[in-house]
Amino acid sequence: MKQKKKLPIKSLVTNYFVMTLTIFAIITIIFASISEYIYQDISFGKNLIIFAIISSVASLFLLGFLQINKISIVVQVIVIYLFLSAIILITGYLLYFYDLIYNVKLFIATIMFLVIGLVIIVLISVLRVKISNASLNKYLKNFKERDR
Amino acid sequence: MKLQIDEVSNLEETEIFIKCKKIDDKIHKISNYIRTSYITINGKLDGETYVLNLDDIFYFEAVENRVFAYVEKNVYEVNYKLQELTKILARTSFIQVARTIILNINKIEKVSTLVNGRISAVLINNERMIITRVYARAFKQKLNG
Repeated sequence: MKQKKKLPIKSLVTNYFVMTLTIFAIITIIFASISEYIYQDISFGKNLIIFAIISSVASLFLLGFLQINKISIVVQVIVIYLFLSAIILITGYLLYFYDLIYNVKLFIATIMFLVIGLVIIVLISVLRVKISNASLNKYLKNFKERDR
Repeated sequence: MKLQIDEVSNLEETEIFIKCKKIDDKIHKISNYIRTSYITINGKLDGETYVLNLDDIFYFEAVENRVFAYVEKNVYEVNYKLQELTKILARTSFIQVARTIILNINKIEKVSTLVNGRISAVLINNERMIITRVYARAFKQKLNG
């Protein structure tokens, strides 16, 4: 009784582009903010190409990862968050935003914000999943009792 | 409670009327029983045709223009298209949960939400089904009654 899992190519391509654009937007907004507030400059036009390449590669990983249905939603959220955090740090390192000798503070501040974000996102996910699952299973139980 | 059964020989189709003050759980159960009792699904297995009991069917799946009914141990080929089954089983415990699958809600052990609005359903035989985002809303609405 195995289920055949086929995702239509159209849906796959749409998901890929949505994901690429989302990651691209996240990276752009983060580094535009850093450039504006730290370096008072947002002229990083050529870097957008690097953002686009990183976004498209990262989307491939995420698209594959999201097809794994056996992982719980909380683990999925954590992995996606850590993956995006790593992408941000790697991008920042490649573009010399994070200088581990002269600009350690910015790097540490980013790490701290990412950790705080992770804690918040995990708490929200756990709570949301618990509430949502409890209510769904309650409705399922009621349905079965009604139908019996 | 009064029960009245009239035998009308020239009737084309059996009609059942229920008059009640309020539709409660008992009325729901009776109406569901009547609905499912009048639905017969024939399934083919090894060249033999069997009448399948709806309550025994876990789900229907369309594979390459053929539709199969999955019961606990066997898989029967049925002569309906998935769209036809969706209509026939509209007011029963069956609901379409993916482009190719119609699932019996009574065979679900537990459900849990996934990312992207999908729902994972574990059946009583421990098989896992994914209710895709497109059908998740209708699934929740059906559960809510």
